[in-house]
Amino acid sequence: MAAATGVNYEWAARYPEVGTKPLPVTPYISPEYFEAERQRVFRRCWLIVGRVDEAEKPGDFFVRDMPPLDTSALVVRGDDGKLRAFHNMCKHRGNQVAATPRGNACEAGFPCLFHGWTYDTQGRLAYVPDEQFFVGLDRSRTGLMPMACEVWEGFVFVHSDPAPSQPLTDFIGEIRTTYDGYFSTMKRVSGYQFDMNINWKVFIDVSVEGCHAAYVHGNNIARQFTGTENPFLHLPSKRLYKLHRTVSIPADLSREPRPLEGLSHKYNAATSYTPTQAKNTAEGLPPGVNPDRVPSWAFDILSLFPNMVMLTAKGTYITMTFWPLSVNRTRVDVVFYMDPAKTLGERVGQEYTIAMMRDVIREDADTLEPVQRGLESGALTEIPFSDEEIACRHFYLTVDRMVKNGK
Amino acid sequence: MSAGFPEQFRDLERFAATWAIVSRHGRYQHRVRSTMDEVREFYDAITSRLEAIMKYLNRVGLAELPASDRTLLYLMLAYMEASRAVEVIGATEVHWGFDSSRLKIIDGAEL
Repeated sequence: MAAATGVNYEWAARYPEVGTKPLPVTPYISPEYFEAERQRVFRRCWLIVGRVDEAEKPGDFFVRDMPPLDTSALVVRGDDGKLRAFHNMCKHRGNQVAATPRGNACEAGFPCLFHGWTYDTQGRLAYVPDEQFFVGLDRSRTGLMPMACEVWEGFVFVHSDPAPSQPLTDFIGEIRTTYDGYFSTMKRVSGYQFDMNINWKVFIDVSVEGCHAAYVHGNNIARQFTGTENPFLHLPSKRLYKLHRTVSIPADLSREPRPLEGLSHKYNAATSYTPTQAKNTAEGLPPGVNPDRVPSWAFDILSLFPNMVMLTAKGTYITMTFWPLSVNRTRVDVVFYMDPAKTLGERVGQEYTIAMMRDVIREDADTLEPVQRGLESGALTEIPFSDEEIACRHFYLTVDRMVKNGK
Repeated sequence: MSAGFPEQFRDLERFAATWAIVSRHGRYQHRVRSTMDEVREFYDAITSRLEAIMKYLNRVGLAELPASDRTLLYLMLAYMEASRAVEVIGATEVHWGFDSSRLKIIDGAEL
């Protein structure tokens, strides 16, 4: 930790390309900038739409709205076992072909409810009522419109370009092997969604710094992390990659556990979000989780470019996906994943984590709509991100580089 | 709603009608709609039997939970909400929280 009188910019020294200058407010409030993000970021990046276990068996499918692409992805495991993604849109007159958010299409395929055109599980046009009246229709060339679809560590990624120039492994980049197996044992246990009056980047910014904790979470969980040694929750690990970034959140393990934490510990039910000595080691974790092996560690934030943040802990992770609806409207999708509880004691302890993180996320969210209003006032022209906020700065500059240079 | 209640915890059955709520969001809503006194009464009653309840529930695997223990388990899940209010926040709701009626609950695995 930098002393007040010593070097104040230790992270900028490590990542000199990120710098220390205040940054213009424009990207958070300009409709033109937002349009450029839609074209040059969201249409050129691989985007996570779900997990492979949402479409496990042949014919299983799910639909996910992708607002910045003005489309919905239909992800389906074909009867040949291959996972594919299509625009959920009939090639006749544009209606959705999957009318339910999930299901299995082995029996019925995807019959469009407008005029009955029907597609099979590989997206091929299988049946057209009154086919002889469609002059020159070639069914073999009239399948659902594909998007690229690839999987990394069980996450289903979709790219709006059916043949993207950047393979997914390149896009994942430096971290592609460092999470090996981490996500695979955990299952979805909870999910909710909310729309906010913010620019999508504002929530990602708050997720990759710790300095807000003492204030935004001061009456809630801040004391699990801050303590007297680290009152402003400096983050001991910050890794800035080409597109993505991680930070590690330390726990204050010197604090007396609250009665319930003590109990959770005893029954091995806590996750490392709810710090207990038992769970706060890197043992059994792949190198990407707690990458600097911070000794009293609570969890990491992985900001997976562009629009997902994951809170990776021991025994649980949360995904937060930020789907921009407009320059100042964002849909937030929150999903909790946990190792399946074996005992009721574990199950009860898991509930604590879910309740706690819901309250924490609601505190963050409540702060951010006034932040957006402030940014939109025009009175503030620049944001003086601190050295501790270097991951915000890095995210900002990564978006800006893609908007300006397209890569 | 009680489909039975373990004999040795009969003293807690009085909370079943109010706190043994099946849905996760329902348990949270009940916390914030209660007074702090009501939350504390429930919290104190469970806390005084906590070790015994956990030992009792832990005697079987999650998959083998008897129907007659289900109400007690829901009480324990609601206790997680109550403990946040009593042990951490000091109020039934966080001081500055995003309006929970704006959350659209997609799923909340009941068990």
